[in-house]
Formats: sequence, structure tokens, C-alpha cells
Amino acid sequence: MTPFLNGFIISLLFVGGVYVVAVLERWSMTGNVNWPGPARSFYLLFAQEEIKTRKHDKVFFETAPILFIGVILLTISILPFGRGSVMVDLGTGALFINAALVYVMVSLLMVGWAVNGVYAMVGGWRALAQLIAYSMPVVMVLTATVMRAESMFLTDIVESQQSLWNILYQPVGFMLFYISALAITFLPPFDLPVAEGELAGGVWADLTGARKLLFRLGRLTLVLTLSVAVVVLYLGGWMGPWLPGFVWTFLKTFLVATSFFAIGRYMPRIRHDHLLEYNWKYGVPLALYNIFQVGIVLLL
Amino acid sequence: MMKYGARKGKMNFFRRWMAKAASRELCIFPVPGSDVLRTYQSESLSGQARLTTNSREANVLLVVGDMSRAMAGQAAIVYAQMPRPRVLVMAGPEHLDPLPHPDVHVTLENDFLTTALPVIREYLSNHSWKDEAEAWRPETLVNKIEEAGQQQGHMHDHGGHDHGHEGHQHGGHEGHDHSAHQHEEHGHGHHTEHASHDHGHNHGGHDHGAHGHGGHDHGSGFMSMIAMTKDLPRSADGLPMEWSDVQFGPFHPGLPGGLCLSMKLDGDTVAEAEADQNLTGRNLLASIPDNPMALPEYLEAVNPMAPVTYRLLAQKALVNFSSEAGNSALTLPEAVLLEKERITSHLNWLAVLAVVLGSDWMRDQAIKHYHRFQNDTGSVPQLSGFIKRVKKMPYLKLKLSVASHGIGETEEHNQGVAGDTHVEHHYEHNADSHSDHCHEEGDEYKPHDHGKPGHEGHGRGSHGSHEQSHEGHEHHHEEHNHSDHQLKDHKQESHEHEHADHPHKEGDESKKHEHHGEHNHSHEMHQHAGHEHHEHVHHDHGSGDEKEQAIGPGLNQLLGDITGPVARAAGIEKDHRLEEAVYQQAGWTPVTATGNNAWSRLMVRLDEIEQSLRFIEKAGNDSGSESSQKINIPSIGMGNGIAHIESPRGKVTLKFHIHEGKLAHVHLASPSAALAGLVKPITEQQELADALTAVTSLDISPWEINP
Repeated sequence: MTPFLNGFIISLLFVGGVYVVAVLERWSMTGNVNWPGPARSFYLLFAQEEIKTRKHDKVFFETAPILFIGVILLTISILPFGRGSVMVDLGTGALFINAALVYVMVSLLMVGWAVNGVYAMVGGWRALAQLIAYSMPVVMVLTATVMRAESMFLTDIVESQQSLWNILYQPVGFMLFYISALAITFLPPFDLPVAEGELAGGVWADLTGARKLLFRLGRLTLVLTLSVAVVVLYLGGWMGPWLPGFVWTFLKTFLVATSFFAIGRYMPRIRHDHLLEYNWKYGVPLALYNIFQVGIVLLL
Repeated sequence: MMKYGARKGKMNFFRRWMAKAASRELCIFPVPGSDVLRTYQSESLSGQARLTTNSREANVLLVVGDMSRAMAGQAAIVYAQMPRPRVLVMAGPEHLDPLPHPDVHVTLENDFLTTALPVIREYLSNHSWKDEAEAWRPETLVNKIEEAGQQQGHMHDHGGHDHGHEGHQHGGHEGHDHSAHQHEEHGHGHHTEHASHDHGHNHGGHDHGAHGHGGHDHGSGFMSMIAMTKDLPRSADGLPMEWSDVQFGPFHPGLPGGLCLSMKLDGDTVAEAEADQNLTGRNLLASIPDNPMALPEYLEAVNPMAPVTYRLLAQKALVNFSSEAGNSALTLPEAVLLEKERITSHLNWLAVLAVVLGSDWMRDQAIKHYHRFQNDTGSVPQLSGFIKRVKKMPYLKLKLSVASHGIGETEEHNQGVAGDTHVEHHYEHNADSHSDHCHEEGDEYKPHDHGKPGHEGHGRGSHGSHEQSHEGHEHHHEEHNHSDHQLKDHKQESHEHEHADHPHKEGDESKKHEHHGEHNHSHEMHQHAGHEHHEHVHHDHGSGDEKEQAIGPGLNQLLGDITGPVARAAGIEKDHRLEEAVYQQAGWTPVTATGNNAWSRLMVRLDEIEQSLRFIEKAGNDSGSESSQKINIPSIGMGNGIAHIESPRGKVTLKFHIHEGKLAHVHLASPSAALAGLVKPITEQQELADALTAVTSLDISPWEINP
């Protein structure tokens, strides 16, 4: 398969993947699988009038959606979908994931501030609190995967799982990263910044039309991106028998994405004080333990 | 046609195609709420349309039923907020001022959406863009913006000059309600109000100083932080913060439809909150019919959340008035009807609670079972299975118990159902032993005193008036087989004597028990009944002091006023069903808990659903129906009628006076008015999400609050 064809198929799979994630999101919200639903939603938002709130912060209002979707696209660009199928094989890839995704929450805070509404503002504060909660554990568990691979290249991290996937090698790390990934995507039960039943959409409550569409698309892409990240870091990336590597990557990715939505459907929203408490009181010590455990195993 | 709903412009090929595609996705924002809409739906919308939690997402504003002008004003603001293309649909009223004339009007009947949805699609498909589309500026919104402007003085503009709908500037986040919020204590130094922004969002000063426009009263020189914050309100921790006035409701997705909370937010902590009782949904009791016989249908229509209860209540009061009609006690078929309504009402509430909790599965399942039981096709095992899963849902208990409003953490939870192994204390009252309980029958007489129960020196007991003296009371206690239940004190929480078959003619005199001594008896209202004794059920959860501590002294008085599941979740055993012979014969006892938090309210309601299922099952083939007692209203003469029913939210009492065959005065005492009084104490200093959850857990029905 030529690199061009390979890239084309992966792009197609990714776009299709975003659509599948949209279907999954709908299922998690309604309990029904509705394949044309996301397309209809797209048309609805596309045809919808765009309302700008009075006295909004013009700079943040215009830049937040671009920042949101921009950082997600940057993260995708460094994730390997197959052996040699990576847009940018960055030397600091593992670190970059965390660094880039911090701006997801920053953009939420920006839009929460920009629209000049209480619901959005409270949503923005919650986004900030969420960022404070998960940022430390996520960087620590990433460190443990880097330790094993002895490299920050994401392709090296996948290769390091040749004998044993990280989900088994460092299960505590997987658990912490998985939960943190849910929090980064602000999916239920970590949907504090948008909280439909409390803030009627929170940071998104006042967005309409194209801006809302950008955020919605961005979140779907973010879910897919984080699912790929879980696969790359803990589920052996493209590794698997018989099928081409990228097919394995996408199969595993959809499994992870489905589990993301399933958890949210069956759990009530977490309280933000609990989120902070659990992450700092239990998450950080567990992440330290994970580093210690991986270090010991590596030395043995 | 869609004069205010269409986008301005020509309908070219691309737009026609886009409109047609978009019309397949109908996002409905129901007003006053999805809980009210559900009462008119026999099944969920699945696939045909979806309900949104935010008017900004919706392309259909659906007004369900008649509503007060104040609430219609809020709906008008929501309509103004909605992005175009949008369709205004009214089910029931043909027009509601100040809303514009609806694009689609349908009769308010069961499953009205089935006929409305194709029409709405057609409108969106063909009229999404129009040259003659006009801006719509409701006077309500303009006034509110002007008010907000006056309160805040002039404010800076941040440069967002191009906002608003096409052809009109718009805003006012109110109805839905990203509310018009005004920060207190603003004192901007200089002002530039742009005339073109007159109709914009009245979000006011969202700390505009931080946007580089000055701040608070600062001049050109240095001003310390202390000076800048000296006039700001202080948080509980002493920090000066700007507080925001925010409105949640009346169409908030996580609150009962029509309920509006006004909050002062200190960050995301609630500094103050209260329920707005001036929005009452359908002008309750504003246009009572003259004809007493029309009262059942009238009350049924007034309260969509408990139509059976209200219809029966009116019928019972009429029977009580009519001397020929005999006993107004509930019959078994009527009790079955009430229990069925209790099941659906609790499920409908559970669906709203699930929204605020963020559990889509719980919401969907609650709605599914709601529709099934509404259509009499419910499966008892499936519903029981669902209840078990809710009780075991991960994290739910922790989340709801933590938000305990500081009034007790105990989780003792008991359920008293016939045949169950729970603590039951039965008190039989008869003439001779009444005085043993220090009912000092010095007995003042007070005719027709059916007001709210008093609190004459009692922790929780509420004492009302006896219309006629009792023969006496005698108590007996059943044996316990409940291991974790320690009995230290036997207190009779309340008992109510229903004397239904007695028409209370004017001029009658009644005795009133002024106080009942140290037994904390809570006699709300004793009306004569002709039965010799009463059976009371009592679950004791500790000594009086322990109870006092668990419930919290500050709320004692408020809790004394409340009835229903909220009271029972606080360990207060008030339930009018204890007075009904049909329940007594079934060995029925109420479900109680002592947690007095959102979790215990959930548990009580879930157990009540199961209890109602068992009651209906015991009733056998009796599927529930209203009695066919003949009611005779004389065309001359006068008199009073009274009835009590334990509704899903608590005890509801209807009193009326008939003069020359016409209704002269009607008084309705409903549980929701008292529940609304709890909003302030249970939300104070709570985090916003906890506060909303706590309020939703009360199950306040704004439809039965009469301002």
C-alpha cells in the first residue's frame, strides 16, 4: 500500500470515526442508535442563525473555538495510527499530548468568560477546576510509559509494548489515564463545564450556529483523539494479528470510545469537590506508586 | 407565517435544501417543562424529535397548555433568545400575550405532537428564510433590559457591536435562563452606553473591569485592592466577591417545569435563594367556576401534575358538603387510582432528578416506565428491577448524601408496608384515653379554622383545630422485628381525623385543641367522622433530642409545615392515608427515613413506588375508578365542604363555601407552598449543583402554589 493511499484511508477512517463517535454520543444521551442523527444535527447548526451575546468579549469569543479545535488537531497530528503512519513523529510526543490538551480547558474558560453569561461563566470556572484536578496525575502516568519505552516518541512507546501491553504492565497507570482522559473530554460523569441539567450547556449555553458547530465537532474529535491516545499508550497501538495495523488501531479506538460513553450514561455527574479531592488525595499518590512500580520492574 | 421565526433572506436552492435537511432534526424546547409535556404523551418521542435543555439549541418552542401572563412573559423571552429559524407551537391556547401568535396551533390532547410534528417540519422546510421576516422585540424583554440598565447605571461596552439576531438586537438571558444577571455593587467610573445596544443582553457588569475598562470607581491614580473591594459583599469565608443575581427557571431543565428560583451566587456558592411564587402556572384559583359541580374538572385541568388527586379532592369535598351523599372516605378503587398516580408522579419526578444528576440512563428508564404505567401497561418486575438498579447506582448515594444541607446525616431508612418486617407502632385512638396524652381538653372553640397547622411550642408537631371533640384515644404498639431500630420514645407525629360525612354548615362551632402536652402530638385538623377510633402508624428513630439534632433546630418550624415524602424523609410521619379506612384495612403504614437529604427523599419515593405497586396488587382486579356517589348541591342555602387527600407531594386540603348553590369561597392548602419555603434554608451556602439537586429533590409543583 502506498503511503498516499495509506494516508487517505487513515484520513477517511478518522472522519468516519468522528461520525461514529457522534452516533455513540447520541446513543449515550438518548439510548437509541440513530445513524442519520448527527448529520441532521450538523445541518441544523449550519442553518441556524448565529447570535452574539451583548457585551461579549470579542477577542475571546472569536478565538476560543479556533483554539479549541486547533489544539485537538495538533494532538492528532502526533498520534501514530500504524507503523509509519504518523503525521509528525515528535521527539517529545508523550509530553506534547498533555501540553496541548491543557489548552482544551483554557479555551473552555475563554469561551465561558467571553459570552458574558452566568451559566457560561460558572462552566468556565468548573473547567478550570477540572484542569487542576487531572493535570498532575495525567503527566505522572505519561512519565511511567516513557520510562518503559525509554523514549518520548509515541511510536517507541507502542513498540515497547511488544511483549506486554501497558494495560497489564502498569494497570494503575492505565486506570488513571483512562479516568483523566474522560475528564479531559469533559464527558459524563465529568461534564461539569457543560452540565446540561445544571447549567443548560454551561460554557456552550449561549453559542449558536457555526460556533456551536465548531465546539461540537471539536469535542467529538477530542473524544476520538483521547481514545487513540489510550490505545497508543496502553493498548499496544497498532499491534494485532492478521489485520493491517491501522485497522487494529481504529478497532481498539472505537472500543475505548464506546466505553467512554457507556460509563457516562450509567453514572451520575461527579461533584467538582470530589473530583479535586479524589485526584489529589488518591490520584497523585497512585500515580507515584505507578512510577515506583514501573521503576522497580524495569530494574529487576 | 413564521413572520418572527424565519431568517431574513431569499429561499434559494441551497437554502431550501439546507432547510429541508435541517427540518428532519426537530429540537423542541418545551414550556413550561418536559415533565408537563410528558403528561400529554403516551410514549417517548424517540427518533421523531428530541427535547433540548437549552432554548439556544432548539428550533421549536412548544408551549404546553395555558399559563399565567407572568409565565407567558418568561416564555416570550425564551422565544426571543432562540436562534432562527424557529417555530412557535402552542398546544391549547390560541394566543398567549405577550408571545406572538403561534405558527402552529394544536388542541391540547393526548399525543398532540403526533399531529403537530409533520406540520412543524413542513414549516421549517418551506419557510426558514423569508424576505418579509421581522425582528421581534417583546415589551417584557425591553422593559427588563431597561430595568437592568437603570440598576447598573451605565456600563461599558466591550466592542461586541455586531451582536444580535438578524434585523434586531437581542438578548436578555432570562426565561431559559441564562439570566439577566446584575452584579451588585457596581460603580463604574465612566460610562459609554451605545444606543444601538438598547435591546441587547442585560448581562450587565460581568466584572467588566477585568476586561480593561476600568473597574470599580477607580480614578486615574492607584487604588488598593482593599479600597476597591471595600463595598463588595463578603463570602462566608470573609473574602469580598461580586455576587451575581441569577434566575434558574421557570423553564430550567433540572427543575420542575414552571418553578423559578432567584439566586444570589457568590462564585458558584449560593448565598441566597428563593422560589418565585408569583409565576403560578395556570392562574390557580383565579377563575373558579360558580357551579360547584364544575369544580372537579376545573381542578383537574389546573394541575397537570396530579389531575386524579385534584379531581378526587373536589369530588370528596362536594360529597362532604352534600348531606345526602354519605361517607366521603376513599373507596378502594379510588385509592388504587391515587396510588397509580403516585407511581407516575414519582417516576416523572425521578426523570427530572436524573436530568439534574446527569444520568441519562436513569432519565430514559424513568420516562419509559412512566409512560408504561400511565398507559396501564407497566411491568411490575421491570419497574422493581429499575428501582433496585437506581438504589445500587455507583456514586449516587455519596453524591446525594453529601448534599445534606447540614441538617443531619443519619441514613436509617425504614419501610413500612403491610407484610413487611419493619417497625410499626399502631396507635388507636378512642375517647377514653385521649386525655392520657395530655390533650388538655380545656378546648377552645374555633369555627372553621382550617388554616395551616400551628407550632405551639412543639418541635415538629403541628396542631390544628378539632371541629368536634373526640371520643378519646387509645394507643397500642405492635411488636418489632427490626433489629436496627431502637425505640426510646414513642411519639405520635401526627394524626388527623377525617370526618367526612359531616357537612360543615355555617354557624357550626368546633372545638380546637390548643395544645397537646408533652407527647408532641400533631393534630392537624380533626373533622368529625363518625368512626370510633383511628389507627396511627409510627416509626420512631430515636429520642426527641436525637431527632432534634438530626433535623436541625433551624428547620424544625419549616418541617412542621411540610407533609409528604419530604417530611417522611426527615423522619416525620405525616401521611393522611393513615386516616383512611381503606388503607387501614390493608395494614398500610408509611415509608419513612431520617436522612433528611436528597438521598433519603429519593429512597422514600422509590420505596413508595414499590409500596403502591403492592397496594394495587393486593387490591386485585380492581383497576381503579371513581365512585359514583350522587352529589346533590341545593340551589339555595349555604354550607362548607372540605376534603383531604394525600397527594404524591403531601397532604392537600380543599375547603369551599357554597352560597345559594354557588361557590362563594375556595381555599386550597397544598404541600408545595410549604415546600417552597424550604428552598432558602436548604440551599444556603451550598454549591450550585447541590442546591439545584436539593430543590429538585423537594418535588415542588408550582401548579399548586397560589400566590
